[in-house]
Amino acid sequence: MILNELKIYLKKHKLLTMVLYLQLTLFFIIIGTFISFIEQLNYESNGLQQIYEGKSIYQLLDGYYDGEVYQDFVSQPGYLERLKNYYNELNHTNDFDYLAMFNHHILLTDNGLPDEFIEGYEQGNRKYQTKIENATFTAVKSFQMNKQVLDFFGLVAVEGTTWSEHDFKGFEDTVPVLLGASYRNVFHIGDETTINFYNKSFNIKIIGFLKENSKLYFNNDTEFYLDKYILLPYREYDNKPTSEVDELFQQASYFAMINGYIITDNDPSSIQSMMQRINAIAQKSSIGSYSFIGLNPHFLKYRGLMTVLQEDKTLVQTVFLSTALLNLIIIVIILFLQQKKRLSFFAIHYINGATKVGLIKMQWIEIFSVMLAAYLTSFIVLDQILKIGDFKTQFIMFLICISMSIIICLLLASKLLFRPIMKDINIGD
Amino acid sequence: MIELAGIKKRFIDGKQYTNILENVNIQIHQGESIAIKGKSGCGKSTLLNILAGLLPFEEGDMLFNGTNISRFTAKQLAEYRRNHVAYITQKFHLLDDRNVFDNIALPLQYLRIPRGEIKSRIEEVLHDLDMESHIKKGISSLSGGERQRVAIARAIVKKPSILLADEPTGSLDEVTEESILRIFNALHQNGMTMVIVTHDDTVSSHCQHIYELHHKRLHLVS
Repeated sequence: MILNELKIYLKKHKLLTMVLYLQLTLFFIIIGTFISFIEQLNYESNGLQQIYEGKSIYQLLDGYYDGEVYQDFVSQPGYLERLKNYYNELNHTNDFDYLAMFNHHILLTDNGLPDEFIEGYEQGNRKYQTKIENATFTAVKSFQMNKQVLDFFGLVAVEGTTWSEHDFKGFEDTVPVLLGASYRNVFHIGDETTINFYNKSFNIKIIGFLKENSKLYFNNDTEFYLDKYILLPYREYDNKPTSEVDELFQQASYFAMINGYIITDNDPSSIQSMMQRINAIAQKSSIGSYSFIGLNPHFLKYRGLMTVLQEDKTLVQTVFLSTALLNLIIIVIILFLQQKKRLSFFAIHYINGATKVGLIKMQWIEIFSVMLAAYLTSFIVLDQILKIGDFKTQFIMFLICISMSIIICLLLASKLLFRPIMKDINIGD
Repeated sequence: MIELAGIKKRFIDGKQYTNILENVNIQIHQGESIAIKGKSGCGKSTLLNILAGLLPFEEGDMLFNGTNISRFTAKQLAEYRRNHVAYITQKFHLLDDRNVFDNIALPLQYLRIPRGEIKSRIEEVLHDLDMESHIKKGISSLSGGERQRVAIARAIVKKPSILLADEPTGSLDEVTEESILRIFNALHQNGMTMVIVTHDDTVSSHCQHIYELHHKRLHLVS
């Protein structure tokens, strides 16, 4: 009976229902976009805040970038041991966090690798390939890091595991690697292949895949995404190089590893203590030349981004809420006028045996059916076309849809419940 | 069949309560036809609404076949309206979003009568009212007299115990009025109990008893 009445109602009120449907669809799209935006904004600002709030960040650079100075340093006996000691002290001190990270490409055995993974793909670079021992290798994006980077940025694996402390020791020939989420269609956990890194070949084993959209703040980029990267651990090598290739590999690795970021509490005593500690480490390791860049780009970017986010948030909130409110008012007015007209219709049903509860149910279904259709349309638009919103956003919108239909229906129902229904068919005495 | 005893009904007018009916008593027997007359605003339609189970009242009892329906729940009252009462309103109040057939089908749908039986009952009642050719017509295409016949058809199709009519000829011309009265006469002769609220002496003259609502009370006139 109710469904039959709904069919008749929709057929009779085609135009008004269509206007209402479009208005509601627009309303849900605005609300969905708004919720999604706020969620994203909160996620971004909370993420940034959690990472950088109350911290002071310095970039630590070695002083051997000049050709002659470098040559002089690497020609000294024991230079590699000094580099190793220096990194070891930096990496294991309890006085501050030391983030060693760099994005040096690697050469990977290529069995038809998609272009998106190749080094410089976004800059339009062509696939660089080279033959090593009769195998074709391609230069792909790679990111190297120490354990503290993993912990500091909260990088987690959705499949497999991340590195253990043991994985940062260069005891074994096979290197355990983590892959960005985009690699999930290319490799599987446990797969092994060969790479060439700083001219040395390694066997690698896939131990895990990072969560989609995993990112960190690197090289002035506040959102450096790792989805298309092969992640290598910065391993410490206690053994002496066994060949010239091995020595060059360890040398390149350690020079990359000692150029990192220092995170300390943002108070003068902590900063002073950190500087004294680094000085002591450098002296102990006989590293004569190093420098700091204080208030590094990360931190400036972070501060700037936070300000923009807060300003954006207020502006967007105002625009979205006022648009949504205006939309809502129009919807409620249309629904009110439409349903008010229906009161005499409900009175006829009442005379013929309907109950008031039954009539309210009928009214709710009329309102909810249009709202549900609009919600589903907005769901398709947001999910498939605009690619906005997650399950949580859609669930909130569905709750809004149900709540709105109930609230509007209850407001209208008060007329049915608390006044003589026969008033609505104008019976004169 | 129906008995009203000491019925009192009041309405709120602004902040004040106004009694519209006081100590109304009437007994309506099976097959009787009764006319209720009175000035405009005296409470005739209110009385009819009470008889139809549409309006609660403050005092008194209303008995239907010996059962006191003044203590009925909303659901029981809906069943009373559904099964026993037919109500023809002054302005017919047909549903203009559907055709003649679907308008007449409405009370039968509430009675959950199978679709096949609904169809045969509607065809039968429209045949009796000489409206067979209008079965698929939209309400807006009907004349005043035709609309009134559809309203009567909707009322009697469920074979009610009592037919209540509020100024059934109030908005009709003389010729149409006559034809409607002939229908009412035929219904009465077939044993239908009828209560008709009217101003019109011609209409009331067709009823067995005439009551007048005066000073909030019901008086038997003839």
